[in-house]
Amino acid sequence: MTALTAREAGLVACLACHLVSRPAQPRASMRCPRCRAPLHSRKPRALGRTWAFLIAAFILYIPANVLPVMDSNSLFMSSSDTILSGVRYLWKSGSPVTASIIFFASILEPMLKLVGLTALALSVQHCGLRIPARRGAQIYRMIHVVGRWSMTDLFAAGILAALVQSPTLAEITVGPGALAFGLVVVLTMLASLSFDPRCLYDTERADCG
Amino acid sequence: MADPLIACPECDTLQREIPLPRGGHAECCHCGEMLYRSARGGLSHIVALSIAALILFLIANALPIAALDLGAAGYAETTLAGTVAAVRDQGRFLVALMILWTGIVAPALEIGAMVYMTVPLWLGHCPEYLSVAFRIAPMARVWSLMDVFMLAVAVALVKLGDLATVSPGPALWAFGALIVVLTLIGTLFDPREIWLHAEANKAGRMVAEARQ
Amino acid sequence: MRRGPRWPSWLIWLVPIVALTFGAYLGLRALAERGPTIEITFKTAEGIEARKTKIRYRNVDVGEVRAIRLSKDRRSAVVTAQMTREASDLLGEDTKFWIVRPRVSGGSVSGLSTLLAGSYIGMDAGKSENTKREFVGLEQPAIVTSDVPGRTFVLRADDLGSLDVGSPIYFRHIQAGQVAKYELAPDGRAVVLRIFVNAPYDQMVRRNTRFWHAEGVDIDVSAAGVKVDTQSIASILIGGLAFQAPPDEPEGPAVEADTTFRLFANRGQAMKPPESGLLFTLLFNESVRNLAPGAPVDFRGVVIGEVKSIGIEYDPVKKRAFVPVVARIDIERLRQRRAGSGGEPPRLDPKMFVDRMVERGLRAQVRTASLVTSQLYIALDFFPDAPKAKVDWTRTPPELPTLTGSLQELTVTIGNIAKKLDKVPFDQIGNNLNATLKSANAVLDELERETVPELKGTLEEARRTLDQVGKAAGSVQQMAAPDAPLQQNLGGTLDEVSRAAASFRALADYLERHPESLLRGKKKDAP
Repeated sequence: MTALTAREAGLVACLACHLVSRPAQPRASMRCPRCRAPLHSRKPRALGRTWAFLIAAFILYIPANVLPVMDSNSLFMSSSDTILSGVRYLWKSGSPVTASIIFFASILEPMLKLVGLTALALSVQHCGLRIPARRGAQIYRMIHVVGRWSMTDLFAAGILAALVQSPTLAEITVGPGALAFGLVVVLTMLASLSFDPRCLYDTERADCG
Repeated sequence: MADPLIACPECDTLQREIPLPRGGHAECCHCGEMLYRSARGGLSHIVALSIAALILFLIANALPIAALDLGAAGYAETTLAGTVAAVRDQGRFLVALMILWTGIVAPALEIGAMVYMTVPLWLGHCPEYLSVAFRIAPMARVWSLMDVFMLAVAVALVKLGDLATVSPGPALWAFGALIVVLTLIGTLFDPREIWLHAEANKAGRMVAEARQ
Repeated sequence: MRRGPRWPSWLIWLVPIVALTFGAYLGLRALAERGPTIEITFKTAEGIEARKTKIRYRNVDVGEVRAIRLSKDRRSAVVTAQMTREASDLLGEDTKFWIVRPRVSGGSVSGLSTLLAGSYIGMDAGKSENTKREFVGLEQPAIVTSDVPGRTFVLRADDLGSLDVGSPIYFRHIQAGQVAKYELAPDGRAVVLRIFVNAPYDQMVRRNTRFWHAEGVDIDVSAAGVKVDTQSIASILIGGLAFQAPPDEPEGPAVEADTTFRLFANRGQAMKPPESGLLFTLLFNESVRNLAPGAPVDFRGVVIGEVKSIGIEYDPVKKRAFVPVVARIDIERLRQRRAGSGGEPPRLDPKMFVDRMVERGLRAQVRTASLVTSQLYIALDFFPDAPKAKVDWTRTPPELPTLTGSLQELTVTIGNIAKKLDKVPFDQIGNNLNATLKSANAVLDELERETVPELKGTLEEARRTLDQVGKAAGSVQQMAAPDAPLQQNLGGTLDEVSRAAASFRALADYLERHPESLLRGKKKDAP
């Protein structure tokens, strides 16, 4: 298939309004003539940014899972729940559905996102680790769609903290792990936003010929 | 005039934009990504839904999202903003900021931008900061996590369930409706339509001025 | 290409219309529920949070604190509250507000619920028609709310003791009310307590009702032995009041609310019949150690008076020291005719009557009432063989002739008995009993481990009873301690023991009938 890309034709597509335009001066900072959005043939320094966010997310992933997300203190007991122990508690207390949702959204999903984005980034950089572009694009789309649900646990902790707050008998506070966890989610979202899926096709095309 | 060019946002392949039948959508011939959709019902649908979303958003923020009933011992309820305030008061400033941004500000920006764009266009005007609103809307949509928040309320209710009687607040209904409306907007809204209308309105005004 | 269903394009407008209706409905409802905004001034706003603290009337939320600020003179906190619509009728000039915080003083641990959900503002509806929007909050919770049926009474006490606002008031060990308020009498010579007695107990307050301090354990060591009286565990810890009419008196006339009563120091004082009789001096020339003011004067077991004071005097004529005991003796009671003998007793002059009695041999004697406590009392009796004596009416109070008691010999006897009692190994008995119980417990443990669950119930019961027996054994030991009063009621202990025995028997019976159940468990009944 000999499809022509906009870049090869010397054109730039606006990511906001999809207008394809021919840039006047290729070097200058360009703006879309219709919606005035900054115009880039490819997202600027896409790989560098993606890596930066990814590495930061990887580092924070450890405290996010080790530190407690939610501390509950009551007259009778006080407990600190990490994400994993929260899932375990929910499973044991007879809500397997909720436990599965949290397990998927808070543990599996960030992990898959980190691994997936790393694989995509590596695929662009190294020939040996290439993922077929269409498969790569699928992974990217999926990451984009499901990535947001990781915030569930953080929100839930916040709601609980707002509801249960009588210092003497029972109090739920948002633990230090919540910050790390929230940052992991935000960073992976930023990483996936900075990644440009068009690069996947670019490298494939470069290989093909 | 030839059909305008369009580039696939995913693989950058240049294609010609062809008119679609009602309800149809175009896919990229190279990677299969959906390129655009035919506008269903046009701008008036989006205007109606945007206004509905705005009203529902206000309701969702004004009413409590969850209530904790301890019988005679007391009663506690929290709104969306109350959640943010509670987390902030616990010293988790950044976490509070994240909830504020994804739960309140981003949805507000998204809905606000939609209303700002579509209502004047529908009435035949061209809003002054159309391009700004146009760029804000998709960015805000990425960060707007209202649906996630709804799930979180459910999770919180389950987690507290064995401790006390927890009931979903009335705002949750508004939340649910809002999420449906936002999803509808997402599927019905075609960003290109904004510019079609904007250009048509501008042209119409120029014609009117010329007539004067 | 897929064709979407064709809806009329105006239909989409239903969505915002529905949303708007929903919003308008909620908004209007909120507006409709909104009542007046009021301001309450408190000394401190401790525990109150804006937009969180509720105002509750009969445990129903009727308002919410909206804002807290300092008053203009910075001496108090002004709380602004948004009331609900239905609360607007409750706001009168006499509506009271107070902050409910967890309190452990006074009658009970109150406001426990506030531990969970934070403090709230309590409210008592006013009856006044005049509406008001600014209130001054009470510093102490209004214990007596206007809607609780009952009446208030006033008590005058010598001192407050450990009473506090909220201290319980008991009627026959049932909590019947609370102390609502206390203050010093204007002259500073008494404490005036305002108490609230709930209906229907307020009907029990009669003209002849006595109130007394029921705080702590009232241990009354007197000639009659040891009397332990307490109203409740709570009253032991925090004090309280009790009231009752003297048991042998008929029901007195009803009283009105706010009637003033005297508060006695203890039940004994409260129940003492009003003093009557004449004062007499009794001169003893023996030891009156252990004879205390208040000791009874009795005639063959019937208390007819009490010792008022004990002194000492030297008679220079006889060159002997005497112990003058002044006692109030209701001599008239000796005159009461036997029922059925008919006729009014002849109205004799008391003097002549006493004279005639003494002539017949009436003498006072110091006797010992209790071997253990060695309390003494004054006994009046007829000793026809006693040497003649006369009442000395010249003395004030008049002197009644006495007889030297056989106290000296008695003391020796008591000493011997005490020595023998000392030799009885109460401690060992107690210890042995305990050891037996322990081993029984161990057997039960064994049984429990090896037996089937069906038996568990019985075992649990047996164990509970054993525990009680253990406790009983403990109290036996305590009683056996050298200085302990022996006159305690042993009935309770015996009851416990017999119950334990019964429980054991039930277990034994069961095992006897179903020995296999130890091995295989109780057989299931055929379905």
